[in-house]
Amino acid sequence: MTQAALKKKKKKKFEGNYIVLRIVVVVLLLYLLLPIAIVLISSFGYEDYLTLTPSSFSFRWYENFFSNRGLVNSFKNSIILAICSTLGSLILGTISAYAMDKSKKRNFFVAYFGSPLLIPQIIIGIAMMQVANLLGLPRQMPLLVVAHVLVGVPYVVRTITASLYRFNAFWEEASFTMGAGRLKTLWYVTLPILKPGMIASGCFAFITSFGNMSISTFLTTSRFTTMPIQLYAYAKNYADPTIAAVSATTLILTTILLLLVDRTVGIDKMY
Amino acid sequence: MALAPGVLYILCVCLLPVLYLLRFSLSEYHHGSMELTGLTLSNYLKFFSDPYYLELLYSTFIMAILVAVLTILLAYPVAYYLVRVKSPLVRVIAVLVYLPLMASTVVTSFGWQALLADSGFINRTLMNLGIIDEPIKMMYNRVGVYIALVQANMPFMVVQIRNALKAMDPFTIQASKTMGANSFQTFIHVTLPLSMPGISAGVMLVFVSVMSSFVTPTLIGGGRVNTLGSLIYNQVTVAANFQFASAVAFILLVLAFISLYLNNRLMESKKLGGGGR
Repeated sequence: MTQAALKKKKKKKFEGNYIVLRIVVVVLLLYLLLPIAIVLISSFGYEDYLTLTPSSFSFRWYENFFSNRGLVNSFKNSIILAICSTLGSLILGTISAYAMDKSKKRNFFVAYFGSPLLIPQIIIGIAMMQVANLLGLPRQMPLLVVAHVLVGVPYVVRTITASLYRFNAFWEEASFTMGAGRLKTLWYVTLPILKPGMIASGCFAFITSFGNMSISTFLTTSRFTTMPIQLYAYAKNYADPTIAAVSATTLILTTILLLLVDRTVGIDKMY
Repeated sequence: MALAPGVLYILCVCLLPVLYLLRFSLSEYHHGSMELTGLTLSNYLKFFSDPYYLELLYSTFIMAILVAVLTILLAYPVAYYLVRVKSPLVRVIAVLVYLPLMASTVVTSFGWQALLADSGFINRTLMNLGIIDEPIKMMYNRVGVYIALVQANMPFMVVQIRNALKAMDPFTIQASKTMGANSFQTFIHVTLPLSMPGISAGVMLVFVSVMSSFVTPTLIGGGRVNTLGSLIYNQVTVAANFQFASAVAFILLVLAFISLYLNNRLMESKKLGGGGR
């Protein structure tokens, strides 16, 4: 009986520790989310300054945002850029991961395709600015797509390599033996297995491209710009909730994609 | 070969441009020019002979270390919670922790601006409540930049420590308890050493991210707090000294590789065996 009572007491003490931990985690979570929360909440508020406690609900900042041509254009640019660079990263990354899985120098290629992540983005940005200038490439959408694919490819290669690790080559062989052709095997066997990894890393590539500042800033002009750069220029001068409405729109988009990543492979696998 | 497009792409868009950057950093300064002219060390000499830049290098370094230390202290409890506590809430909390990582730095910096400014939410609330008469200075100084940088980098550290804790064999803790160690001793002698690979990888990520950051120092620090990143950015966008900007970028790259090398050495050393990725 004393044994059981002791055990119970010990268990209680153990759970007590976790209560302290839970409180600490809640406080830290507030700290992490406060800057995001103020942007989200003020975008739907009536006040013409940013606040966590607006007096009433209003869409007026969104109306401002949608009637501002500069903001809408840069938003459109960012969406087009993110879609194109995501598709580019997925195609290039999946083919590369599939090919290197069968290569003898697999480890070398894993490191090679991860290398862009080791170089600070600001350095890649300024280096590409100089090369674009050297080759006379205009600072337009195609150049930015080429640059943003670079940010997405390492994530795609990493995720697809991990999916292929669990992939059994016999499944493809079985499909061939059963009389399916190369294309049919690719469509019905290989791609369905890679699908979760492709969705997750695709969302990830989209988010990183959409929010990218360090590379884009060196490859855009005042006439052709993306959302984060336009936001940055605005935030330096005014703290108007119109910017909050723009930011909130990107945050909502990001959260939906993040949930999709979590559903498919889990976020912590992406880092 | 199916590998050729990917290999060529990374070579042409990343590795060769960085090599060109090195060559360009060795050419002579001409205001606003991106032409390759001459071969000189003058851009590097300018950096290493001017006390202003040396001071900036030093203060960036200190800032990166301090932010990394603060990040470890704050990220550890969160990572520990995510691994050890069994609750359906954990998954939701994990998503919330990773959210700031995905939000553009411009968006979070803008949020901090609205919170920390003299007429920002925090000062306004405290003054309305009558707790303070004068606003507390939290923007255009180091305090605000630290608050924002620690917040922005904390999720990186959580991911790394969480992965290290996950890779731990749960029996090691049981073994330690069986041998008579209490919870605190077990934490200090077993859990903490085994999470070192995660901490080390996290420190590397945070270190490089702080040194190259320029959005947060500019928006929150208002030009009064500088990093190597904001120096590069200003040299390109304001001074149009592309040669000097390239030299600073190359110095930043060397620092990033040094921290990567140190991290790898630490991972390989036997002391930190197990737990790694």
